[in-house]
Amino acid sequence: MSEQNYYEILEVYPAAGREEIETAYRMLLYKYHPDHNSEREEWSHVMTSKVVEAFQCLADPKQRKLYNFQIYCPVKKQAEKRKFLFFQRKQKVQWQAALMHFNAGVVLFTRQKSKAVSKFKEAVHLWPKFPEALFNLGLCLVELKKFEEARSFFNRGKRLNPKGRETYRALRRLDELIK
Amino acid sequence: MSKIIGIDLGTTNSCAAIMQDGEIVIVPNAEGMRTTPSVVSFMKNGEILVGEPAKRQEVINPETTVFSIKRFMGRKLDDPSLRNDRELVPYGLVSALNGDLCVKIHDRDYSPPEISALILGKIKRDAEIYLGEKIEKAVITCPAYFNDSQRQATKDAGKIAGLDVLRIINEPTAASLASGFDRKTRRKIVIYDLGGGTFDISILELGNGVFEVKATSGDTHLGGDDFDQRIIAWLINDFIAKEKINLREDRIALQRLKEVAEKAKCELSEKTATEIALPFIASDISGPKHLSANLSRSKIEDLTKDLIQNSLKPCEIALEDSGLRPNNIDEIVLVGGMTRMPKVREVVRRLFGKEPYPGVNPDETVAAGAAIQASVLKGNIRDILLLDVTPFSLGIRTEGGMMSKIIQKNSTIPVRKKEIFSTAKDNQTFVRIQVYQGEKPMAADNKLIGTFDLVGIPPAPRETPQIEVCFDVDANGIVRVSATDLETGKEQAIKITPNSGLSESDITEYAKEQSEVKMPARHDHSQHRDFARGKHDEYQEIESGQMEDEGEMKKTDKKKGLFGLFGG
Repeated sequence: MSEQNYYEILEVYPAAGREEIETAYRMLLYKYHPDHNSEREEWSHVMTSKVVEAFQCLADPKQRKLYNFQIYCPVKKQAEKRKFLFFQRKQKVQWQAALMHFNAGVVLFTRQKSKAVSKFKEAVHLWPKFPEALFNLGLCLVELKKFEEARSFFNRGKRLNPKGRETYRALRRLDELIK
Repeated sequence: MSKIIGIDLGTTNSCAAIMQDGEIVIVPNAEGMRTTPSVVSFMKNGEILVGEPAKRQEVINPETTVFSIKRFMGRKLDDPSLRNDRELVPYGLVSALNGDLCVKIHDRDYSPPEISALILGKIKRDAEIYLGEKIEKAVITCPAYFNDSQRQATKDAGKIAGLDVLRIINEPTAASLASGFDRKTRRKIVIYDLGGGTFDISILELGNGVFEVKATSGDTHLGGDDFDQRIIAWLINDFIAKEKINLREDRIALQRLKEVAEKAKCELSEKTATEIALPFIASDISGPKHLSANLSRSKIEDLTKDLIQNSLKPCEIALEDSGLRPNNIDEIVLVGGMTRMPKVREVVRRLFGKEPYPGVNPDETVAAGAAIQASVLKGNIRDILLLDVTPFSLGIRTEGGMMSKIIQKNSTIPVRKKEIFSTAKDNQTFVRIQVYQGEKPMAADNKLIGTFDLVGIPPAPRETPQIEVCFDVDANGIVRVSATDLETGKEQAIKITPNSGLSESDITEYAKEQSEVKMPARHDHSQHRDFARGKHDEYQEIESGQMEDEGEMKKTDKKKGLFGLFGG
């Protein structure tokens, strides 16, 4: 089973209001809480802590906005393939190095944001016209609450790839977040 | 399904309750009292007295009578906060192999859970006689501010007594259950619980059957015992001034002082002055000496002013954590015998600007709450939801001796949180995970609750291995920590090995021992005879039936007999 997002855990629509979330939270707790599931302790422990975690995030408007940003702007896992001609050997080596850092960054993304940032920065440094790395770098920085730095990277990405919808979406969400 | 009993295991007094047909019934003990003193006495002939009989001969055998054992639950002998207590108790304290505190009596070491188990065992037996059936399961309460090892010790005590402890619940939370059980309106309440040895404050929001703890705080070293000690110290100093004899050196005199101090304290909740008289307390060449003193209410208030003030700091912390102001609070519930003291009530009233809620019996409400929780666990009550919190932040020690918090204090439990850490050196093959509780930024200032090693990490440059540390706090407030090396893909989850407490084998051994221990047969017998004398004729018969085989009892007859005795 893939990781459920908080809305799925609480069984509400992403547009649900505070009241609705709270009702769902209580309903689910009655269902999952260890007090009412004495014969399934491990299961109810895990389910209850998931529900509590989801509720605590969504009940706080600030955290909820940040969370929405995360789920609507997922990290880009793969970079677009590039072709190099035989005389572009040097560039190819450079690109492969950048790609390595990018992949490492993607792996680190879910675990350690600050390290992922340095990996993506390395990738961008080696290959400045790398829209996916710029995008992911922006995401990391948003989560680290460095909004202005994140915006500058999204803007750089936008200039590189003006048709990239995700970048526009991310920028729009970022504006909401700052508000 | 067998009945589940709710037990309030207190520092000075314990109480048991059970839900019967939707009504809470306080289970009286064999002596017919609704609360049992938490006192255990070891006689020279190997008998063990528990409760009222033990308390009665406290004065004669001060060295072998254990009281206030709850103060030592889950503690180390070298715990700095115990320094005062160690001087005050007449029984000997020693250290177990792992540094845990033990009580030494007749050349045998008893761990605090064992002593508590003797108290629980008596409550269990008395309840079995009262209810006429075997009791195997229990909900036991502990102070909200108890830490992991103290909770574990409480659970172990239950196991040793032969009880399956279904849940450890916090005393103030239990009190809120009992006081808000039959009322549905949404409100915010404060539970101020000043008991025999511990102080707790909890702020809860309740409504529609949901009891949600917002914040909790407390002091595990503040209670009625400390008030008694103040009076004793005053009496002793008074006596030194008058007679030049230090009563502190005489254990029996000290025990007698303790008795009268407690009595005087209780009397002063009703009266404004009381007379303390202890004849023949000491003697010198000129003859026997008598102690007499006049203690007024204002004097006791003066002696204990700082103790009452000490309870206000946790109140302020809890208010701040919950994000509420005193005027947001709709109701104040006072729990614990000490809250009978007029000064305590006055201070609380002044802090929250409200009269305390009246309909609460401070001695029994915690046990009643435990009985309600037992009923919830049994599935008889389905519309109650209890959401408690963890009283401390939990985390691990990371580079530079910092405390990296994983679970914040006042997080709703049960909770599971994971965080990723890495190695600090190149080619490090193991990491030591040190689990701390507390609020200070440096780990060393907090309390270490457990240590374990995660071994077999493949050699790699520093900061590349990914070690996931997972914290679990279950509904009992007991912590479990595991670590997994994500890099290798293989899971290496290790349960926390507590650096204190009893091992599984210890518990089974003690449980076996206690089930074999002969409680004073003569004593018990006479108690039960007293019980039955002049009541139902069949009672005698049932009682003898129980002596032979408890399982074969005639349940209905038994019940009738007992209800007759206690007037329903």
